[in-house]
Amino acid sequence: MAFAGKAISLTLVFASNFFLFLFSMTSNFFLSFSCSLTTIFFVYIVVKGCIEVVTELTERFTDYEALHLFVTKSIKSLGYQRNLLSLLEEVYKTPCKGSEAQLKIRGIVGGLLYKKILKVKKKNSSGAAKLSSPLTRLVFSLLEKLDSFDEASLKNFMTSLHDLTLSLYLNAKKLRELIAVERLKHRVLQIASSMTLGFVIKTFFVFTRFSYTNLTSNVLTFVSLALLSITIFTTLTCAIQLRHPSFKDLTLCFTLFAALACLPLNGWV
Amino acid sequence: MSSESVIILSSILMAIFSAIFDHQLKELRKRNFTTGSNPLLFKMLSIMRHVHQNIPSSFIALARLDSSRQILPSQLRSLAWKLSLGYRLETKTLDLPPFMGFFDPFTRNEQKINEHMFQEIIGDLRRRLFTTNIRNIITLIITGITITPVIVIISALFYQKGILEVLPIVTSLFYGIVLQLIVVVLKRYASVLI
Repeated sequence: MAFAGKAISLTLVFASNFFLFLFSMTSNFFLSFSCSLTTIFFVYIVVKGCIEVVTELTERFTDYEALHLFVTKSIKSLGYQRNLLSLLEEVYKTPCKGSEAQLKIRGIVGGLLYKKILKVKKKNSSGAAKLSSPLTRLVFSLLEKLDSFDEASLKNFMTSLHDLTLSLYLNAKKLRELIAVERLKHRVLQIASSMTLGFVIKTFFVFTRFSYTNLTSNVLTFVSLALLSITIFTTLTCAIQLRHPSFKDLTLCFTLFAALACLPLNGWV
Repeated sequence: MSSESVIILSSILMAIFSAIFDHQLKELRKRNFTTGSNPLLFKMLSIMRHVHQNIPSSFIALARLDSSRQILPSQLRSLAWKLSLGYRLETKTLDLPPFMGFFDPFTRNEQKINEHMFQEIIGDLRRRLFTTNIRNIITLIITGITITPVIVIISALFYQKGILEVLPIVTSLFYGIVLQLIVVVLKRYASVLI
């Protein structure tokens, strides 16, 4: 599973930071290690759950888009096709531009043709795309069951569906746009907070190193805490953004943090 | 309290927070992400009625879909059964969301209803997700919590080094708060996606 690998790697990043943090608090290696192992297990469960939910919600957007495209294409073809079977075949044969939603339609219609209607089309079902949206599942189950529509009923049915899918599609599109704006704002805040932490640590270190001699362990503790906070913040809040946690965000935040915290000590503060 | 016991306590806290979060996430998925009244469900309902008027056989087929798969919410499923048995739909039987209190969704002017309902859905979406500024508040809280240890460490270094020992507890609480905020926001997003 793709997301299991992601969850494992994110958990390992989290756990290594947690181990560093605990180890800087106490010199007891065994205690730090065993506590980190427990944390690995629980954080893995959390991250895996988050990734699954985010995947499912993201797929729903695509499902609604696919349903809308399917109905639109069906209505376009209704003038020439006289029954459900030929209509599905027409939609299936429409050139595919390679977008995710269109590929999904192709898979679904191929699956329908294979399973219920045209059993001769064996290889065309490209794995019967998995549907996460309950509404889309419902519509395609209905199509599977009803293969005796006449032209007039089909037209009414598709018009009704079009009405619904247009609302859903526009709704999902609007939601996606709003999420994109929020994501941008959130990303800026993430970077700003990691930069602030790095800047504060450096300023603090420069100001106190002449007045206080034994700061190393305290500063190490604080640096590892800051790293851990950034990890929690960046890894887990990715779920809020309805996207998969990526290493790019982590790397950017850590790099900015490290650049501001560790680089020229007596330099440009 | 020694630093060892603080570390063990913080690990236990993290484990408890993780278990609670996992349970909440499972509950959310079990209910198929629908929480509270969802405007899109009412839209779906009006379409089902439309389908029923035009193609009775399709509606009966819709009602006879495998109920064990739990595709439709129970409210809609029971209504589908009733309609297929000749039951007349009454608006009073539905729990209408607050914004729909002033009109009947099943009048004849479908086009007007669709436009109105769509605007209301978008308006409700915006109101629920963004005009409350919930996400801005969450981000500010999280940023605030991230910066808070700075004050703790400064006071610890200059006055009481003992404060440093509490840092693992602060971290585990931070972890728990972030998880709870994720649940709140996921519920808000998921409730508008059927």
